[in-house]
Amino acid sequence: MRASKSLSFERVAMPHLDAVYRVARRLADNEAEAEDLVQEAFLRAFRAFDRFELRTYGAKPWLLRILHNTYYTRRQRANREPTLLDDVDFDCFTGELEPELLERWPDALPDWDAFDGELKNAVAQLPAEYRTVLLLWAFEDLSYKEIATVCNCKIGTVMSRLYRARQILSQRLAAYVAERNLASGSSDV
Amino acid sequence: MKCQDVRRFLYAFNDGALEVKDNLEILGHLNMCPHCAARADADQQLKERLGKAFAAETRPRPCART
Repeated sequence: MRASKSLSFERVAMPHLDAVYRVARRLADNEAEAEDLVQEAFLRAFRAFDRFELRTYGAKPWLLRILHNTYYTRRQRANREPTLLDDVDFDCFTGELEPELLERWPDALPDWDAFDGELKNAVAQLPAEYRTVLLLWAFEDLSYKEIATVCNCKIGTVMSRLYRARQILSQRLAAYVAERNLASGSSDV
Repeated sequence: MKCQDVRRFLYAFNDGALEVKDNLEILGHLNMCPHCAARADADQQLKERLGKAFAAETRPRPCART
């Protein structure tokens, strides 16, 4: 029975090990902490495998949710709980965007190869709650609904965090382009 | 639809999270407004680049015993 559970868990969960690690690595401060997070998340997942939920979405959102919970439990223990935005409904999501937020986008596109390092730094500096939704959206290509399930929050919250995370990265991008004059000539369109 | 209205929903549009009717309204605006279209392109490239920037990152494998 136990051997059967192990085999089944291995088949369902292990293909997502790298995806879970990628998210953990961006949440953790270093490789060792990321490894530790992944190990604890997979251990929790194995113990809870009999109660495996989220079958509708598959194993990846389920594992990422466990990782997310593991990460936040650790942060709470360390008294470093992040400041979270108030939950907002989907309907009122757009109402809370400041007008000037909509004007901060750069028209010009940068030299992306030169921007990779800057992009990684910008992601690392995002508040943890923004970084999480950005990771799940950009790297794992989850939908708003799946991200809300993983983070256990409302879709409106996912949208507002994602909006702000993208705005912050866009601002960094705009500053980088302006500093190095990397505009590719598309600013005149 | 004005530029400011479009920009509120542009991320959701790029993410395919809008109803068909709203999608069409925004698409109509983007076809006429190169500034908003450039913003939509920039956001799509940002997502693509984010994915690529971290795609190669995999879990460290244990060292083989010598």
